[in-house]
Amino acid sequence: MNHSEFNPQELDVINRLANAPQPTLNPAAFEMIHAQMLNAMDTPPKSFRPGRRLGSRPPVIAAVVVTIALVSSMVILISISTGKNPTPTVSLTVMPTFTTVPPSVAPTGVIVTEAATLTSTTETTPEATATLESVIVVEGPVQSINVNVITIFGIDIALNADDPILSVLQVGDVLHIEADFATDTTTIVAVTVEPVSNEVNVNPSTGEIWRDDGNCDHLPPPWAPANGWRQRCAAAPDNGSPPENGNGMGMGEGEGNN
Amino acid sequence: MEPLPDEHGLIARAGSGDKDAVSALYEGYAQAIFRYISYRVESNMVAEDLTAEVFLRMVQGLPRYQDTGAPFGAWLYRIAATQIADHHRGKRRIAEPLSDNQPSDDTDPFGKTAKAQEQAQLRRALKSLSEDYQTLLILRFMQGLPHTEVAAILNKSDAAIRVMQHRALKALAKALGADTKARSYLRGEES
Repeated sequence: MNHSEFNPQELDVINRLANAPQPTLNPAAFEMIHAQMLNAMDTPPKSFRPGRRLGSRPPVIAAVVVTIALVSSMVILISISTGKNPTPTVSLTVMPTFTTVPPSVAPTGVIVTEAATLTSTTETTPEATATLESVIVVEGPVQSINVNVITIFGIDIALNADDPILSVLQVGDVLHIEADFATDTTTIVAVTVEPVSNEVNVNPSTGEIWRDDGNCDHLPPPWAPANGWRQRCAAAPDNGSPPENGNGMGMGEGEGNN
Repeated sequence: MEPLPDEHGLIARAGSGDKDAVSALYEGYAQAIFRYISYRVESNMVAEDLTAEVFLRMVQGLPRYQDTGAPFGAWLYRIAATQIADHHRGKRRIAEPLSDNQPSDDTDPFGKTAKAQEQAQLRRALKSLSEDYQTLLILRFMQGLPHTEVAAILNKSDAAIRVMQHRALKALAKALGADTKARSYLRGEES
């Protein structure tokens, strides 16, 4: 070291540093560290094992992205089919485009609702082939009833003339209808009709219909949910029906008998 | 410090898992790394722990180490500096030990005490400086490393190190003076 480049004060500090105590690693610690080090060579830490590097992650990320896209499209299709949108939900061209489907998320058993387009032009891999049904879904209030043709959002839909729901259906009832075009016409024919409002109930076994018209004399059949009928009518002195329970919940809460 | 004999060969063999080569590198550098760390942390026990960490990281990093001709020791000192910085970051939550925790030795107890006091005073003074100043002063003047090696460790030019060392010495002189003055005052001595 060339000391000529330092002034006396700096040289004092340099001398002090040069003569400072030099601690040494004691032999026990020296050996212990040595042993730890050699042991580490036999068992490398996880972070250095192959397969844990970032390079192996892109396929996983890609699979996650594809899965999210797939689930999102399914959610959209399901929301269309259940008709949560209050506007007319007549989907005319819904074409699933499953271009990339990881084997673990192949949508087997998924029913994709497509409407008004019978020729499917999906670009699917064999694993992604889905069952397609041509169904128009309409959900909304009935605007008019003409024999067996009802109108919802200006769309005429023909119901089966024997459908028991026609006997109780009223304008304003909210229906969920899945329909299709008749084979040789543009008439929309209902395939399934389900009342959405609580007032109309259909026995799933027999097809029997009961409508809660607000009249306490019109008792609900055993299979129909009361939907508040008992609460409302339990206080009526002349209906003959005992309260459903003894907690008094129905007393005075109804809108009265008609 | 001087490179070990056939250091490049040792590094290559150590990188491919040769335990004898790893041991030779450890034996060649362990004490120097420990001394450097011991002046940067609060006790020799902590310095032992951090020295162990440095050599564990050396073992982990050797397979990917690229021998560019730069001193191998520079790489180890950089690992040590990182470990010290990590230690100081984590240490803020832990109370500092009251003693230096040096192993007791009955031979020359007064000499031991004087050495321990000197080491403690230097530690305190160094601690008040920047990390680069501490590294420069320890490696350059305690361990006698040349400018070029200190420059490689601090990732600075040789000229920058030459300028920096004057500033570092001045700062340390000031810190030592302030420390001496403070301790004299606490002992009730006239300044």
